[in-house]
Amino acid sequence: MFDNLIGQPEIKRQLEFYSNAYQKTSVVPFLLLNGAKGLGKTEFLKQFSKSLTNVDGKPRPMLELNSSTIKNNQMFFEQIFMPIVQGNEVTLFFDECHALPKDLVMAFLSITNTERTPFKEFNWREYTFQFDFTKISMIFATTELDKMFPPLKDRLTVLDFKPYKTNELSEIIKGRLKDVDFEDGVLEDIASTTRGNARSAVKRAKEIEIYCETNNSATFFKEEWTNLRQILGIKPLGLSNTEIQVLDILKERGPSTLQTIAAVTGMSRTAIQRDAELYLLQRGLMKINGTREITKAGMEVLSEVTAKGF
Amino acid sequence: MKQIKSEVVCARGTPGSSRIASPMPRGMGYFFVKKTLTTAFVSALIITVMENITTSSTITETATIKRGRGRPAGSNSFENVQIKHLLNFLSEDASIPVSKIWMRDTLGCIIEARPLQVIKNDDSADHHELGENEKVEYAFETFEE
Repeated sequence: MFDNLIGQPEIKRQLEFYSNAYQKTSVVPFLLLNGAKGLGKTEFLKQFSKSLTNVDGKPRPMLELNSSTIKNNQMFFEQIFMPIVQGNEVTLFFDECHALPKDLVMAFLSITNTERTPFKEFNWREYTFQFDFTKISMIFATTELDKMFPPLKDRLTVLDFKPYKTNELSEIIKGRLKDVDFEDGVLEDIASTTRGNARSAVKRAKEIEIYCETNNSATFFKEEWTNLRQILGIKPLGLSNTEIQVLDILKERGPSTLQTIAAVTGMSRTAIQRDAELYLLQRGLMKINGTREITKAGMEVLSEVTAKGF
Repeated sequence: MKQIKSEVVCARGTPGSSRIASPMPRGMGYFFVKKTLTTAFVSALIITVMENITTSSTITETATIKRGRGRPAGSNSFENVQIKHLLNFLSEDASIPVSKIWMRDTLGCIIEARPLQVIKNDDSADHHELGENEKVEYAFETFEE
């Protein structure tokens, strides 16, 4: 089912289990795909939906909704449910579902309460809507699980996506560039700049493809990779300018408080915590021990940035 | 605090008590008497002040009502305020300090300091005025080759 998708073995096992169960029960549980952006939630879900066959033997179509554009029940029922969903066999995919409006969340609390039977009637204004979950699959995805309304979250089956490993990212890049040969070690170095993110790996592959086409090159050497990095400003470990700036501050000033970093960068404390510190801590480039400190690994990365002029 | 101490002074330290007049020797001249009286009065005053200091601290330590310390009986640090009134001054996202014991006894649980999203069971969002061009964004994938 997921032969063309790399990584996420646990997610593959779980989705295969639910797909097989669907063949017997005709029902898919209410799934909630949770994970950072670019981990492949939508791609995996497309493959999953494709594996669900409708009564006519065709793959079940998927309606991907941008949850933040649904402002209330009226928009959902009038623009989506009545014209597209009602009476059809379809997978409803609520992307970024933490942005769903309050009243629709409350409606979903009633609608997803299907412990006894896969059918549910929902009354809204003068209408009564039939939810037949042998025909409709409802799947949610979010990057911010903590913003989900807890009672709704409790009714959904959460599948957690994990960051990709370097070898998986290398495989994704290589899979997109079958005609290009890579010098030993280059592919791993490229993968290390994608921050564990499959979407970034695909994007990086596209950049390399353009570079190779432009230079009529079928082999990608270290020199070419260094050249491409300088052209596009790709920093070690895929660090952003803000992250480099924070490391610089910690190197120059020694152990510093979050307030100091905020004052020097001109960014808010929250933005620094969210946009810079998270990845630096994840990669062991800084540590927090009362104050923020740069680690040995962080110093090495900074030296590399300075030496190679990224 | 000041008021309490002054009461103690009045009760115990009245000048001209028996301590001042008692050691007067007989047959002394007026001058001696005057000088002795003056010395005795000063001494008595010092003794009285010392006694007052001692008495004051003794009273504070041993009295059944510990005056001058802690919350006065009947007073309360808290006020019962309706949430709707608080919301006139605070946004819904504002954090307010709440006792863990109150949470445990009243709500039956302790909510972590992390902001919790609370969704009211009302249909206020239903009254969102829809603009003419407000459309739900969606993509439809049929998987047909």
